[in-house]
Amino acid sequence: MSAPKIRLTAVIMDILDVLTNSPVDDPPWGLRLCDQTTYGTSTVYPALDRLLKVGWIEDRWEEPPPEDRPRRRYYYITSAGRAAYQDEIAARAARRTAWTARTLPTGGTA
Amino acid sequence: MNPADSFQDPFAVSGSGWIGVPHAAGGLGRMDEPWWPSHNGPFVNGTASNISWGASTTAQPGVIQLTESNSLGTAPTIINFEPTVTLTTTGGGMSLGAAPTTINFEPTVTLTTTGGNSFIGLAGDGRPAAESLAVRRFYHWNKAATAGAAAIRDTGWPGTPLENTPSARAAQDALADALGADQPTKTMTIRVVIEAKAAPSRHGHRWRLVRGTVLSPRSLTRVAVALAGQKRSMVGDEWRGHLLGEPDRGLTQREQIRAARGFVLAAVRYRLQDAAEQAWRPVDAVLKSRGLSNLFVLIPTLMAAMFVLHDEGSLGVVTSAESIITIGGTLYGLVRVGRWYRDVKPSDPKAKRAKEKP
Repeated sequence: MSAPKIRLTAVIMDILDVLTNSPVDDPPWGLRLCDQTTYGTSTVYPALDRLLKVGWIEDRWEEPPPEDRPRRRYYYITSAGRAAYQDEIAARAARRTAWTARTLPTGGTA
Repeated sequence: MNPADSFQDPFAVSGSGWIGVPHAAGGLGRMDEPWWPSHNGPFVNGTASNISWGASTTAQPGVIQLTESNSLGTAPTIINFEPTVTLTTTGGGMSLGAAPTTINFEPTVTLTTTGGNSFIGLAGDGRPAAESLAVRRFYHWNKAATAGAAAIRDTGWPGTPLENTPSARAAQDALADALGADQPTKTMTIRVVIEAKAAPSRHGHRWRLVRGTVLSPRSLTRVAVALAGQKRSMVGDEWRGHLLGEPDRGLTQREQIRAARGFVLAAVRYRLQDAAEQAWRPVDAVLKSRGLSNLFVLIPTLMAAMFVLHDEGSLGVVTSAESIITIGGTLYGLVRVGRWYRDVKPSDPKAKRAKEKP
């Protein structure tokens, strides 16, 4: 069976946006994703869970585990996730262009 | 000996770059550095009869160094106020330390003493606060096998040091008695926790009491982790780390509560997702298999035809053909829509046949 389908909601797109634009040496974790997307924990963590299931992102635990606090779980976007995100961005841009062309007057000769 | 008595003696801090200000009530030294926020100075306590402190600043910004010498004849101990402070003294008497109060304050302080009748007093407040922080001071008495720390909140610096007030003394006495302070000491680590004060809301602490149970962020998180189930037990670490925030961005109590509530909701959503997945499993199996999909369409259609045949005969089947075809068509449509919705592709019969051929 193929990977489960995921709906590209605004939350998913925002999370993918943050993950796409995060430096590799400073990957985001839960708190930072909540801060940067401005969504709450009840929205971000289930969305991350769905993204992990479809394989668009992957997680890695902080190594070595720090002694003074719980280890963090960092999230990275996979090539599949990046491709899906870029496809969706392109599709949205195409839809917007088509819609603009249909609704705006094209003008004519006087 | 009651360790709390040692606070009766004044104690001075002096040295290059330091101004020792023995508190009028005794027992408190204060450092006034121009760059130091006035309400966030580090504190040291001690008995003037036993220990004196010299202090010097180092060239490194953000690192303060204290040199301890005491009248017991032991070697001076250098204390670096780096993220982790380690104090080591030898001999009986008193050992003391001060919590680092730089902005990069780390919450672990290790204090080591040897000898009898030892007592570690650790005092200090937290980092310069963007928001109101609860001031905590820690007093720590050692015992051979057990250790303990007491936190006294809201000491009201730079006002009267709380340790010199009767109520604080009573608390210290109780703690010292409980821990049996007249015991040889061991190495131990004190974790200093800085908590942001919860701003009281218009409705008071709404989060606080539900049937007498304190719903703190931690307990809410524990509930959330339990709700999330064994399969997701690793979210416990993740969520506890979330509550702690980042070094330069701690979460206020209010934010912690909001986040913890979110964890509970997230756990419920995890469970709903799992339940939905379980429910879809047989449906997916039917959609994926051409044979099962065909049976799903054919069985009800044939059953309908059989009923009509039984009740109305062959002519009835002909006259009701439209209805029977509608049933079959609807079911076939459901299968197609289901495959699209679930993103399921049935196995290719040609490929299957090719695989079966020798």
